[in-house]
Amino acid sequence: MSQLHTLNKACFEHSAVQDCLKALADGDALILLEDGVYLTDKFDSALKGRNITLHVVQYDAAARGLHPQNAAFIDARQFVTLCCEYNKTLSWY
Amino acid sequence: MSPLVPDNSMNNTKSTLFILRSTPYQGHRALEGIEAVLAASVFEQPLGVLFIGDGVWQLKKQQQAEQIERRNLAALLSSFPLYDIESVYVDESSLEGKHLHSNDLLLPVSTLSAAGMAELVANHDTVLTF
Repeated sequence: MSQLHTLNKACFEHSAVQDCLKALADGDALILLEDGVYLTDKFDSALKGRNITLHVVQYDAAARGLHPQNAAFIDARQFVTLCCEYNKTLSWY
Repeated sequence: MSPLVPDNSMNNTKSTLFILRSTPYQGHRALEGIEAVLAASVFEQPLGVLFIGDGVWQLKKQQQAEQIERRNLAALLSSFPLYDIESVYVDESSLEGKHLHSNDLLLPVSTLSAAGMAELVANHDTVLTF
């Protein structure tokens, strides 16, 4: 079963980020929220070629002055929908 | 731009360096740091501000903090020149690591190398980190 992961840390070297990267499996989805939105570009590269969907919380990115080009932005409603669609949600914080 | 040596020409002065190293909206540490800088500026003592690591994100232009119902730190930082806070430094490698350039920043800053940072710290009497 595929899982939904959420991540809220800004530093790529943070153990939450590294542990999340290890846990991500094909078919999973990842939501970057809060300070996690700072890592949009880094995750875009890190997940290239893998079957993992990357989502970015729009209001958290806008609050921080970020407007990434290739981000798949979601709002709060879509966040809830994703949580319902996946088997489990893993929070990395 | 601003010299690494604070202006200690007045008598009985004490220089303070504020090192700001937190992202703007995770918790309240960034806000506390900026408020401390603004409060300190009232005493007309020499002060410097250094942004390093995740703290450089505080300087990012186009912040819309109202979207997460927070106070916009960018507005507070923009008021630094009004308070005569002009010794503002940024660690160059922190900017590079985040692919940020000086035109992404909302304040005019001086960029510093690691050596410049050590000099800056050495030249201030007190250092506070947030």
